[in-house]
Amino acid sequence: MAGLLYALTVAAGVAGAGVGVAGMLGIAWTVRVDGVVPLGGLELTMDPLAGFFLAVIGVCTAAASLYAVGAAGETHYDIGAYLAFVGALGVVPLAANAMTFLVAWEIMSLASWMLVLDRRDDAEARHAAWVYAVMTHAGLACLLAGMLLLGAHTGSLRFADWSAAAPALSPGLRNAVWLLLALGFAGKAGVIPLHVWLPLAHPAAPSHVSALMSGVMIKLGVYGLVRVGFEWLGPAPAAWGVVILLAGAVSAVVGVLYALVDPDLKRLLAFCSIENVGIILIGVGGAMLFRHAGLEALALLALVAALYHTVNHAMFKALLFLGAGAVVHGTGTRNMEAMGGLIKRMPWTAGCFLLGSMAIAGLPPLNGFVSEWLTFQALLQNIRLEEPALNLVFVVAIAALALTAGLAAACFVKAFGITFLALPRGDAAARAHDATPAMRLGMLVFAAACVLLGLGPTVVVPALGRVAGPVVRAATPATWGGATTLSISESFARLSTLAIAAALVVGVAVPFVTLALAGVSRRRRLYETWGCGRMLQTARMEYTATAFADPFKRVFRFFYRPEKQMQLDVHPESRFFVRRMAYTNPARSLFEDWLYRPVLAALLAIVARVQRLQSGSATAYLTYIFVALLVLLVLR
Amino acid sequence: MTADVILAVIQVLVVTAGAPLLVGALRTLKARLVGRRGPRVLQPYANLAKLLRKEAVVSTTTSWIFRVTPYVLFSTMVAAALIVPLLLARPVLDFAGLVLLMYLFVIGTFFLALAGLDAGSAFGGMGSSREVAVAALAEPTIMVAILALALRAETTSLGGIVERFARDPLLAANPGHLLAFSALFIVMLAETGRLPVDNPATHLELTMIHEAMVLEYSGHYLALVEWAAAMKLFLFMTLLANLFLPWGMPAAAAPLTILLGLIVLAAKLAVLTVGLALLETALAKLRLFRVPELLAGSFALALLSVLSVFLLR
Amino acid sequence: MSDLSNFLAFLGLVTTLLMVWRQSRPARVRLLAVQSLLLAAQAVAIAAFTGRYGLLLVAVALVVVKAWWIPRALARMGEGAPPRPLAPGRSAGLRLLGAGALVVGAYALMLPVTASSALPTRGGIPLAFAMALVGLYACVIGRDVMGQILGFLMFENGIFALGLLAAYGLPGLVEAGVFLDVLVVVLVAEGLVMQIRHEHATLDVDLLRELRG
Repeated sequence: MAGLLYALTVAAGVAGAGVGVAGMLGIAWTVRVDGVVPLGGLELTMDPLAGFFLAVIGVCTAAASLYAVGAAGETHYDIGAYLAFVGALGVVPLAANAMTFLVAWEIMSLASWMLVLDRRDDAEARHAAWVYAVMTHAGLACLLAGMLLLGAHTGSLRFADWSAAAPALSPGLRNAVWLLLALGFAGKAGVIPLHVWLPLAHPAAPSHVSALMSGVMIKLGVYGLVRVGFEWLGPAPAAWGVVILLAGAVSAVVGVLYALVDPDLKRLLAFCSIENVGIILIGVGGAMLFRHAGLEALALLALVAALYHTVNHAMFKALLFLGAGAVVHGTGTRNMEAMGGLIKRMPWTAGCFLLGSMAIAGLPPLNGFVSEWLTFQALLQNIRLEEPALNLVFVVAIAALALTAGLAAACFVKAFGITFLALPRGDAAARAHDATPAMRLGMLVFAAACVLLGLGPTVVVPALGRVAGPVVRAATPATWGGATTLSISESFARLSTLAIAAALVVGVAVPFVTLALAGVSRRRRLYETWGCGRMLQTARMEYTATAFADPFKRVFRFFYRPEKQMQLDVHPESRFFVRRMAYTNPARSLFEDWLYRPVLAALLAIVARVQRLQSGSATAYLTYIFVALLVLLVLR
Repeated sequence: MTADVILAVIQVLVVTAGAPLLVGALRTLKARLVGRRGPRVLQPYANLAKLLRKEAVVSTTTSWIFRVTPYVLFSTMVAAALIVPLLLARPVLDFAGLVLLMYLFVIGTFFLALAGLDAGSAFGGMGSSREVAVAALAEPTIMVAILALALRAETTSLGGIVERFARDPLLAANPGHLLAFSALFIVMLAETGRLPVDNPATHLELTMIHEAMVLEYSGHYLALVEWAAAMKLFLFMTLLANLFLPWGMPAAAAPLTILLGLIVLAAKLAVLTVGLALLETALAKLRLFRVPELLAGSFALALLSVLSVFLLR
Repeated sequence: MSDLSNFLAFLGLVTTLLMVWRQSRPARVRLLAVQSLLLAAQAVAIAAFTGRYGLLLVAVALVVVKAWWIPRALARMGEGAPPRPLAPGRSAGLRLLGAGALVVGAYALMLPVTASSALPTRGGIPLAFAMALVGLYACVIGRDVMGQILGFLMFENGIFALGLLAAYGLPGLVEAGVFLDVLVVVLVAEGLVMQIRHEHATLDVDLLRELRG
């Protein structure tokens, strides 16, 4: 039964993707049903940007549901919540008025909250669900406030009316509304410092749900930021673009720094989602700044880069989460320190995870490289902006993006290497079994998407250009080069991933063929790893994930502020014979210590003071009611 | 079309044949500078031939990644050989830019780090961990230096940058240019594993970065890995030479111009090799946790180079 | 018509103040019954003078529910407990002063409504509102559960009287709903009081602190 419903979701996903692609190609439609939703009725509108997001949602849903068909038989998943989640995901980009949007948004949040609570008896999962519920509703409060404020001042709750009425509003009001809406959307997207729920909630949910949450749900936060920054409030002042750009840069670096030191496989992937959202927002912020300066072609390029990275991240992050799900399914643990050697026991999963790691590390000719390349090319042209302060901001963003790219490659060397290579570090890893065929199929769909998106930028970029053009109000359609070579900004930069792929293939063939022709012996002798004269090689001699991250912990000491703790258990007869040693060196979260804990402590102090009103006496409560009534009567 | 193919073959041959020569010359020069006789200049060829004849010992702990990595490394270097402007002003794959080149090198680092982890020994893990740390910290410098170059040349394609700089003879004296050159030189030291970042001749595992990762390789695998490392050094030095001393590079492809390009390249590389040998002889290897300070210094140089573009505009 | 209605309203005010003054629980329950009878009489008078015979039904319901059944239920609830509070209560003078202030306040608040109304019964509107306010006041100063229930019922009487005098009775559905509410409240209160008596052997609300936050 559950399998059937998941199969239905696959079909729905494919259908949604089809509708989305049609929307991207320019088929616009509107649906209005009064009365289903209060304050304006249900209203859905298709435009290219909504079509793009719907297409991404559709593809991810289809493949993730395919994976779930293979995994659903073994664990208990909440199928009703999943269906509600997927449905709400599809409605959010299409919503054309505030209430439809917010109702769908809330259904999406509630459904995903229920899915995060999948293993209710685990205290960690309950804590994750609690933090998620609080943060998402704080975001909803901000969105509600912003939208209602805007609606009150423009007289309508429809998005189309906001775009028209926005230039007439006062700058103070526009800034206030933008701040509220940006906080709400940034919280959903996982931007630092509103990210605390992401590394808790994404690992706790089942893998196909994590794939959807990371791949699609946080992108709807980006969708909101794009709509707010470009359409609903009219042309954005430079300050907004700078805020988004810097927030993106900070998120990218901080996200990957936390991912580097985490030994939990799924939490590492969650932090990487924060990093990639940061990269997307760098593109969006750059686009906002370029548009403010009147450089529409560059704004188009930056937004195309951001949208490309959106779809790329959806594909490779979903692939990685499904792979991690297969690993957790096979070994029963999320801790990388207990894994190892899985490439021999789970070859399909390892291959797919390797492809995903290469994509997210930005290796040519895969899709991650193409979108990072595009973002770089957009940022590198910032000299066309005539203001030195903005140029400096762009330089900071370029440095941050480069550092992120390097650290991401390091992070995924760790993730793939420790999990899959060398010897198993525990019994669970030694007995792991590979993913079921349905799970493999789901992963392969995403893997194929990564490869195709990498080799086909000449097809994808013009399509994204048509999507982003109306958003940045680009006057003339841009030319993007030929059939195999992408050309940016009148040959500022050019790229042909097909040619690179061909060169790499030729490059592999060259030594192969040459050595064969030269008659070089390809004999191999199998033996143990060299142990420096030691007789036995065990799994305890391998590098661990914590050890791998140690250079980073030292270099970025000011950020992680690690607390080294070592406990020695010595032999009772002599303190020189150590029987057991326990070593932990955890990185502490900067944001929890400096931002969340003080705010929560202040809040609890205020609440404790107010709590004295609740004395427990019924008489006192009645007195409050009576006095309130009198006051209202007098003041009316 | 056929001219392009012939040119591609010639470029690849120059890189593959010239790289061991470069490494040999560097070693011999360093030895002579400290008063030793040193090995023959053509010794690396003999080493490679010896390794190719030997049997490869592969650890049972490893997987197909270990066996594939040497070929992947070599292939990225071949692709890079087609991208870097070597003999002529325009490389064979004309579209390619600096960003693509740097990411190609990342492929090699990624796979080599994985191969280091694959053997399951502590040396490999240590080498991989340090290598990716150094590579990650060098990235910001690379990108900001690329920004500095792209700002002046108004393009990121390598051929375009070379042509643009070749038209401007006063460029060598431009302070921003020199700053970018220094920054990229330091990055080259980090990426190719030369002193003071990493000692290519060390036998002590705790001081190794690159050598620790390739500790398990032997036979033809080791030959390919060492050859690829030599090619990386060759390509980096060629890049520095041709981007910052872009004169004497002919535009059209003809047998005589190719020969001319080869001679000019040899001369520039000789200058850079002497400079590198002097530097390596004068400096001691930095403690590993001082390397980020060095890279931060190179980042500052690149940043200054960018600022000079804005200030002198 | 106005004279009759004003007189009945004045008698209602007297019962209100008496309920605040008297401390004996059976006496207050009897006063509540009298108050409800007075309201029924008001309703009959208005029905007779204006021809709205639906109000007769309302009057019957008032008599049955609020003048007979509820006082019986209240007596049942309170039997066994002492009729007067054992500890010395607060002075009657202060209580009456508070009630008096509320009556004056009700007059002041209802002045604009009286001025704009055209009905002959408008003179009693402030008195009805005063009944409601004093009912709430009695609820607040009631020392035990019975006092609070009596206060609530007086408040409800006052609201009903306000509806009757200001608009010749509220729409049938509203009336029925309100009656039902009161019924339910008393039923629930009965169960609650029994439980509190059983658990704590007292009806004094100040001793119950479980509603603490």
